[in-house]
Amino acid sequence: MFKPRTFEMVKKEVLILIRRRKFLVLIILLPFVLGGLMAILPSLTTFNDVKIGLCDLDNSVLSSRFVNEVMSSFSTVIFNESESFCVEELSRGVKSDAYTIGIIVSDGFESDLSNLSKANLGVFYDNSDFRFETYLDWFIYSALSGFKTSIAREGEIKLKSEVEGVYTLAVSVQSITKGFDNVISDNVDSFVSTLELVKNLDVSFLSDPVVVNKNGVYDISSPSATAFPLVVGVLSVFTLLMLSSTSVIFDRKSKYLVRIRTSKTFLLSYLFAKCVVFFLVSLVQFTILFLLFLVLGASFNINIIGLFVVLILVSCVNTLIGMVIGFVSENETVAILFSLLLTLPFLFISGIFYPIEMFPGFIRFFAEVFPLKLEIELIKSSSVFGVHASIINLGIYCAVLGVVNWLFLKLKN
Amino acid sequence: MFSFLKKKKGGNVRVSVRNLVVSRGNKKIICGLSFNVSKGQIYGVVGLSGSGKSTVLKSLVGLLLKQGYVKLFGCYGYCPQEDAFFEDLTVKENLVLFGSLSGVQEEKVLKKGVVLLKQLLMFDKLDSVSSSLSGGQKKRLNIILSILHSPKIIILDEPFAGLDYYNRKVLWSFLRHLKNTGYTILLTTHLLNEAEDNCSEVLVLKNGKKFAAGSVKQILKRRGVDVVISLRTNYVNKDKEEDIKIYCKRNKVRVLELKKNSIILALSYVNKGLFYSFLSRKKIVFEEVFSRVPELDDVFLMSVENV
Repeated sequence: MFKPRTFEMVKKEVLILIRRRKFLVLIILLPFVLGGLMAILPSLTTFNDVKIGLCDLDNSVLSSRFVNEVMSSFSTVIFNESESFCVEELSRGVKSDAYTIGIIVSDGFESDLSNLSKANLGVFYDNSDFRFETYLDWFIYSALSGFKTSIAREGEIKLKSEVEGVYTLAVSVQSITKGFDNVISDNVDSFVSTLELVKNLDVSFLSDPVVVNKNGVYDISSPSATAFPLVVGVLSVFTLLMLSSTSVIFDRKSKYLVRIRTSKTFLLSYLFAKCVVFFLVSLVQFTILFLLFLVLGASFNINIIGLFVVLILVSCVNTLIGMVIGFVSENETVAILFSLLLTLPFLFISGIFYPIEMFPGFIRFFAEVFPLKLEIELIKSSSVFGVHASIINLGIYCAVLGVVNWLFLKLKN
Repeated sequence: MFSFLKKKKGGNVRVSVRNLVVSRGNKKIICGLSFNVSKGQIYGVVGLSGSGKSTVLKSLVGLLLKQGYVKLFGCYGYCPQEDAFFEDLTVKENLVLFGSLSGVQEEKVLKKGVVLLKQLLMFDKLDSVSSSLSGGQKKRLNIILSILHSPKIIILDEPFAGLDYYNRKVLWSFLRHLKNTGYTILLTTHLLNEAEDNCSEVLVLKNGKKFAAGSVKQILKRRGVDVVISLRTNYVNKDKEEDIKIYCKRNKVRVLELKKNSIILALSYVNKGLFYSFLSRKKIVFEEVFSRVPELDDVFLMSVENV
């Protein structure tokens, strides 16, 4: 009679794992490395390491003020040379990584601003790196926001002082024309109203007519906690795909699978034992990450039961995917390569580098049901929002992958 | 009245195979093989490399998809050709692990394991890491792990492969002991002399089919072979070679070897006398003549030479 021998198989997996110390080290070390990077890096980001090459062709009071503001925020090298020299030097500097960005303050910078016209800044950057466009937009915003605000404020004061004089004159004329013909009186009244508008004008309206108030729909007290589900998901995929695939190869090479198939043991016990053991591995890694994030200031809203169920499913799905890789790979090297080959597109399609909303329609549909994306969403629901989310999709993945693995176990020579 | 409901126990038969067919793609590896293994036997499956010996055993234990009737009356233990244990673990740990897989409690496994290790002269290796064992010791451990649950039928795939004479002797002695205590053993081997000495019956495979089966005596009797004669001659030319071949074919004499200066034949006593008369008629002179009792080697040669 066939019997489940899950406990015995779990013991074997744990024993083998303990004997293979290098894997144990990997399991413990990875969460620290990955979690540390994701948790610490954003808070350590500074702008001081950005090197700027700056050429002031205007040499005016306003341009100097701009230069000083840039120097106070960034590490800056100043040139006072001709335009042609500046262009050549800044291009060369950006290409050779001497500067991250090069800036030229054009001749006429101050006079344009003084005449309430737009002034020009030339920016040189590495356009061979597609990621740099986003960085550049951020830099320009950061570098100019203070200066722009002060210029706008000064322009406002100057404009309003000019308008004030005209307004006073207009009010005087209005008082005189009160008893006059309606047309003249109306025109003067209209003129005074317009001047009142201009007098009360907020100059920032001209540069930014629409104010956007960003309201996050979730009550998240700790922004760093939102990185947590991502790290857990990625780590689980990366670790479990490699570990479970190589463990199947190991069992095949040591003829453990032959022993199982020729003994009166349920084949499902083998699958179940793998899922149990790798769930424990996931739990260890999760605990390390969780504590790391807590120590670094993240706060969570945990639904314990929901999170526990999600972790079981996440580790199950990733283990079963890894086992399929193990069954189709000839040896451990191929299994590891195969795992890496799958992990990278997993990361891309799951929206880690680009939001899924940016993908074309057919890929977006595919991405919405991708395992890693589902895993991250479920972990987020139960750890950041503290709610239950539907686990049906992951449950289906588990069931299908379980059947596939069972067939491999049963039929593969 | 309800005897048909009773589970058939096979009587004296432990393994029954009828019309076994195993295919790989479009190619048939085993073609309609039938044989029985009786209780308390050591049954040897021999044949050339690629004749399907391991395939037969693997299909018996369900490792390969098959057609036909296969029945094992009783629980079995299968020992694959390759080492099937974890080299990172000690012998003791492997015993416990694989014993538990077969449903035997740890205490019982260790007790039985120690007995078996003693019988196979490996008791001092109980706490050794399996990777440190010699080739022969690994083979023995492989077998021990297959019989921890005291199966009625022991199926061994090439248990003697790569072993020296001493290790083979130890193993054969162990298997005879098991047979004498009621186990039924089915094994494959290339060692024909040792198989003849130790196996109750053999199955000779050729290209996935049964060439011969039974005890060596039975096989030879069925083929009308009582004696093997080796003749050494100074010269047999092509014409005389052809004459000998035609004669042998007509008179059911099995030619095991036919060269310019030696001939080995397997034939009955009656045919032996007639053959000498034929040689003198053809004026074929022989310097030396040896005759001996036929062996399993000769049956094997018959399968190779297709006679």
